[in-house]
Amino acid sequence: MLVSCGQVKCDVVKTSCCFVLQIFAMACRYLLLVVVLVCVGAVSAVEVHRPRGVPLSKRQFYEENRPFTCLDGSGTIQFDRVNDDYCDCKDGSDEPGTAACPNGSFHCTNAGFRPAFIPSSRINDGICDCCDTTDEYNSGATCQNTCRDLGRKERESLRELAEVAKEGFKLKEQLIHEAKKGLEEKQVGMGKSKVAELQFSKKATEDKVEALRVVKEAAEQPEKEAKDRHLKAWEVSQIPVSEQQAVIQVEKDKAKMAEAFLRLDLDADGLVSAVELQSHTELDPDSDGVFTEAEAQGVLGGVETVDTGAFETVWSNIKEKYVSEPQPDVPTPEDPQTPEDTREPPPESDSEQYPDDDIPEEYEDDDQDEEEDDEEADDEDEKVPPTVRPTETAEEDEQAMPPYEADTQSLIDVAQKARDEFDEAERALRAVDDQIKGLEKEISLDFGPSFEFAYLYGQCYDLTTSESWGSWSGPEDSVYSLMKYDHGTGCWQGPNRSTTVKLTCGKETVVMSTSEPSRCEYLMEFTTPAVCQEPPSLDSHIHDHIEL
Amino acid sequence: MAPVLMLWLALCLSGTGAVDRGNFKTCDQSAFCKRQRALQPGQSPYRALLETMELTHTKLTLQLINDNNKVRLLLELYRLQGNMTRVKINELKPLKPRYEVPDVLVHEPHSEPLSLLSQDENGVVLSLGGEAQRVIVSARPFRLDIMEGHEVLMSLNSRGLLAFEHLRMRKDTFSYKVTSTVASVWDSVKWVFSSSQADPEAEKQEGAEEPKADDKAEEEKDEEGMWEETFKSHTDSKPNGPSAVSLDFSLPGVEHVYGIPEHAETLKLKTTDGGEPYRLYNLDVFQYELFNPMALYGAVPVMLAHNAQRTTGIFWLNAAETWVDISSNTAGKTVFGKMLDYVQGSNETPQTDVRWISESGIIDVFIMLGPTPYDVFSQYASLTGTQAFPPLAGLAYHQCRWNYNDQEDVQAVDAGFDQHDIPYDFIWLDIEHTDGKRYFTWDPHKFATPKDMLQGLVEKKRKMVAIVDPHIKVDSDYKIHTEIRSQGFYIKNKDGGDYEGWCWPGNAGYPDFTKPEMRAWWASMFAYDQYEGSMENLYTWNDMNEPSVFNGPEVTMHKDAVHGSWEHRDVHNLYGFYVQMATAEGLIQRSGGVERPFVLTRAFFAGSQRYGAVWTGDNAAEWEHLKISIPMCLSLSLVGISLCGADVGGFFKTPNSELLVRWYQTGAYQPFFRAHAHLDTPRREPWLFGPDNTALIREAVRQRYALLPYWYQLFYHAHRTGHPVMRPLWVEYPKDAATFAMDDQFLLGRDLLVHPVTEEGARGVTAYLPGKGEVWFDVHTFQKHNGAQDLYIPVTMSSIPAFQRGGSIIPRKLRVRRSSTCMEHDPYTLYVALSQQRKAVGELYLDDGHTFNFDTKGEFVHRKLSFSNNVLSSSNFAPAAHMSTKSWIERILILGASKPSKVTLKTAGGQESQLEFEFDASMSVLTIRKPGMNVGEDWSLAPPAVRKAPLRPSRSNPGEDASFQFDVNMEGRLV
Repeated sequence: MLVSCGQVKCDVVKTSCCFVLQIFAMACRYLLLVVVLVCVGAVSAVEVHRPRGVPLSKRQFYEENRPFTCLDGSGTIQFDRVNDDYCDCKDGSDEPGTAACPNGSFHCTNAGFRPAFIPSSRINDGICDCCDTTDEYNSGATCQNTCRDLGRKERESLRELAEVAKEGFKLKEQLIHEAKKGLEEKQVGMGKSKVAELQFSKKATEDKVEALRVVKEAAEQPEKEAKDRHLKAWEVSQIPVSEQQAVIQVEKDKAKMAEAFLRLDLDADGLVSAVELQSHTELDPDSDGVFTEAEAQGVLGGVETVDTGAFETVWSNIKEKYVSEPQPDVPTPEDPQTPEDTREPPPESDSEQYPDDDIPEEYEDDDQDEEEDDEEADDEDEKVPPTVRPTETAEEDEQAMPPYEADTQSLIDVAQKARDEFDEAERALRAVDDQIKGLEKEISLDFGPSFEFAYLYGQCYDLTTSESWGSWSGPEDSVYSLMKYDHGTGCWQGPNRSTTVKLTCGKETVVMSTSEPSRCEYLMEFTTPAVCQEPPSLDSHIHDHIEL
Repeated sequence: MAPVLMLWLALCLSGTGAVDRGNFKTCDQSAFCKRQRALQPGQSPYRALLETMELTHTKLTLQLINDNNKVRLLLELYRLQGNMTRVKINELKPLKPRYEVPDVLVHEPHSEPLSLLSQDENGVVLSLGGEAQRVIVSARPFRLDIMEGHEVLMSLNSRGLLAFEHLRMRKDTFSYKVTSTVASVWDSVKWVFSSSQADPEAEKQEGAEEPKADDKAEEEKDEEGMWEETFKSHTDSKPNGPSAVSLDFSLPGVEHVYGIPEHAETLKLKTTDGGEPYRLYNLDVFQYELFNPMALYGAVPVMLAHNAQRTTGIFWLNAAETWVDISSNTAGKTVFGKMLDYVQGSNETPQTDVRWISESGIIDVFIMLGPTPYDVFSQYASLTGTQAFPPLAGLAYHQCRWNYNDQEDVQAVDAGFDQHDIPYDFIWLDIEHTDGKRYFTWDPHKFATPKDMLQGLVEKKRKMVAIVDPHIKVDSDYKIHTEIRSQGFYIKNKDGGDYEGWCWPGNAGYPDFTKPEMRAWWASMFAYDQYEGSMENLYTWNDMNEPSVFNGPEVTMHKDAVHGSWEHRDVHNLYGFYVQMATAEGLIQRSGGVERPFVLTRAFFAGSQRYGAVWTGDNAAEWEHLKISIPMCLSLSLVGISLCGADVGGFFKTPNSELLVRWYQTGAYQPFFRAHAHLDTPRREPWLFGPDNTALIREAVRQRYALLPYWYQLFYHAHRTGHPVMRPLWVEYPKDAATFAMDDQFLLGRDLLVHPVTEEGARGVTAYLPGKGEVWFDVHTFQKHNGAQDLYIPVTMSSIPAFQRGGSIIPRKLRVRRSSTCMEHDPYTLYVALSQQRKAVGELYLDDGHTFNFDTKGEFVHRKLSFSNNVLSSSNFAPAAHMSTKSWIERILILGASKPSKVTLKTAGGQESQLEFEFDASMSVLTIRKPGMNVGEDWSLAPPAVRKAPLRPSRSNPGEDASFQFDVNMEGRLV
């Protein structure tokens, strides 16, 4: 009774947790093994005869001297045909102890270790499969009974695993606790939650931006007028005659074009797209205030994107209209109306200060952040010009205007201050926005049933690949034992690069190994408390029965 | 590694997913082919000088003269044992010796006397022995016709395309003038020796004509490409100038010609009029295209011609680059063909004309006169030897991949097969297992303890193959390299230094395997104490032995590289043959001559069958590639190479699960059964495609293992007789024209017909069951079908349509275990398929499965099984053989049987016992339960079977025959 009960229970456990996370299953099996062993010990006194290869659980079907009915019911044979080395039953049940049936299986008791079924084809094939050697009874193979050794080793490793699991589980509980707390803070809806907080701060920042915009615009109007006056005065005094100047003009135009290209190319992919162009409403061909994507495409010559080469043509058409941004010290000769609501980044004079195209492409928002960072650096550069730059500007200055008069300059300074404050506020707004988006994304991710994986978010365990998060992909009963990162860059004739991360229970979060089992398919083995299962607190049992 | 791969990719990746044809020459780009192909038929300048004819007891010799340049040739004609004629043509006095292919013939063929039947000024008629076979030598122009009765079997130079570019001095060089005098002196000396038996009168004549010939020769113009040729930045210096040879053959009455592998082509060869000739030049072709005449990895210059009356063969023994043109008056008639028709006055007789063109060497051609396909196989085998008898495990399933990464990977794959209960015998390691592509070494990190790994396989009774390629990394710390260099064993470049080219290891040297000393040294490297980490269960794979040279012309070696006194040009197609020969010899030697070797090669030549297995190279995971694996292996089988297979799953690209399953099913019924995959493809071990596909693959592999006794017996026969294992249907049904071009199905031996499913999404296949009056039994359902019909068979994913011929007995072992070695002592089940006449015969062969003891000690069992007069009996095929076995017969299935009242077994001791049996009336299958006789007992002393009761003569209503007594008489003993 005890045995069959254990058997049933074990089956259940086996199907509920296996493969990678075997701790629970193994521990459970061990327990049952103990139970079985106790029973075997108890029953063996009664000496139960059964044909070779039959498990105890099925011995009642093999009653000596009574006709045997195949377990699938397909036929009935005399008992002397059981294990007579000829396959009579379609299901192979008449030959549990010989290799006669192609689909049969043999049961090894493996006293001291776990009992096992092996395919009949492994009986007497000269290879020791059962640790109790019972599968090789007539092959001449010399097998050693290794069950006790195996059992001891298994118990040892089980105990170790159990200890790891125990501590790991404690850590996991802590992680769950922290993750839940973190989540609550982040989730929208709760008055005090982080997202709500951020939403609130966003609103405040938006208001501030609006206010500063008004201030800025107010300050810019007089500045512009003063500058125009200054410009006109200067233009009258300038008569560009020399050829050299024309060449310089062409060069400058080219430089401007290059600068404009880089500016327009918001995502820095080396292509200016219609969408990117749309932010420059001054380029709207019909100036109706609505610069549609189609119109932008028209500007680009009817294509989605242009590269630097094609941009040359586009540039010749738009350069008159194009406004990079208000240039306080070098106003464009024929300054069209500066669009007030331009989303252009703040001023800067040298596009080459942009980083190369190694900007990570993960999130557009990030891009912008980084660009802004760079821009800030640029701003600083302007204040403390690097050694190379002045020579260039000095050259340009030769053809440039004389300095502004004091009152103009003060107007400019005021306007500049307003602009700076406005830009500052706008940046703050974007930062808040990003934070909100990030949190929302984080919340939407699957961090496991109890958010035990949340702590891993944003952490990097050094394996440089370019795949993106795919999904949890463990087997049905332990989905969270495998992580799949896929759609990396393609391999020649092969798949796109992908990485599988195998998680096992451990006290620390560590990469145990990395390998490439198949070309461009990487495997990382990883320990983390997050996959530790609650140990079934069987320590006492294990200790009790070690002697067996 | 990285730069090498890069280079390789750069070389090979210019096409998208298919061969870049521009990397390989067309006939027009190969100067000699272009020159030769420009010759017009019907204008042969060659004349036989009948007065120079000599007839000895072994051969006829005769001089030919080219009337244009007065250069003389020497014709030798032999009548060979076994109905063959050999025609050899060389320059009478070449400037220097011309290459004659050594080592391919197993021995100098035995000749039989020719007799002169008649002679006049126009020619000579010689008798070729019995069956009224004659050869007619016509003098002007020279021509040979082989006749039987009034029928012309084959004509040589009938189109006048015999051409022999004599060796000459280069006219524009100073040395020409200086050495020509010396050369002619040397020639005269040589002439005296070589013509010691010649009539002094003729010699005088010869001497008189000689200067004239020389004068005339100088008038010949040098054509472009005679002394130098450039292809894609590679210049061939051609120091010996033009040296091509060519000859045409006409085959009256023939519409079907086969053979001349290796081409990705249908079984029946196509005419080449207006297109490219078939090319024989061993090349490493990246992602080869299907259905075209481009050269591939190997070359066997043997063509078979067949019609309903006769099968003949042509073996053109020349190892240089060779092109073969085929034309036919029935398919795409040429103007000349029509003219011939008109001249011959027959529009009806089909005729195929074949023309062989080789770049150098001599004309040495063996004409195999059949008349049956099996006669041709035997004739060819008598020349070049038979199939090596592989170890039994070599016929089982091989698991390969470029690459199994490390020892843990090998162990995991090995365990995977056990976990999924799929048998396999060999796991393979590709180039990455070595220490930096230094063959005979192991990667010190990934394969640190190879013996442990091999021992792990020994414990599972499994084996391993590791690759050993012939290109040797140039590295002064690499023992193999330094030894080859110090012994001067490398092939030399034209300037005398060691030839170096790029291959997997980067800069590499190429050992000169044409040297016997080099081969002996190479063989010695396989000794267990030389090849560190090797063990008796480690076997060898020779890849890249065309040879592949990544930066060479057409990805191979420069033709002006030097092998001793010969150019690479002369020996090119032999290189791979020699590599495999030396390797196989090494594996034999390491065991003291006891163990049979197993060596796989990619490049091959005539005779390669003696050294192991061949595969069809780097195919692709495409349905068309699966389909073409059948004709490619059939073509190889026809020319002696039985142990052939294609990479299961396809090497390049990634098969979907349906293609993979179908490929396993097809491969399970092809001789060499190995899955292989490119480094850059996802893993595809059989269990990676879901449980359903795993089960389908498991079942296909199990069918293979169950049938291993039959496979083994077929290979034993192939080894003994040279008869192919995998056969086109026409070989067995030579009069059935419906079978002549069939290459989507095939026979294994005589008795098993396989029509694998090679169509995507197939719901059925139409198999042709040949043989009027024959019956075929579906091997899975035992349903009986009549012969000579197209049979539609509905298929599912598990179907592998296969049929056993009525009249045959096939042994199987149904206890499929994890490797073939594990099944050694297992009992047999006999499948007796009765013919319409209620007869059946079969065989059962077994030995230890891996040594030469079957040959050297007669340790084998070979039984003849026959069923007639309702008695099944087993008698000894080889009374001299002796071996004891534990194997017994556990079951006998008689297909197409009627129900007996009882079945009685008689054993050697005279004991009788009643056997239990079951009878399935719906399929007429009688299953006899556990007869139990040992198959290895000496049965030759047994008395003949005695029936216990008279049998009814008629079996018209067997089911109603209640008194019918069915005896099974066996000699043996019960276990």
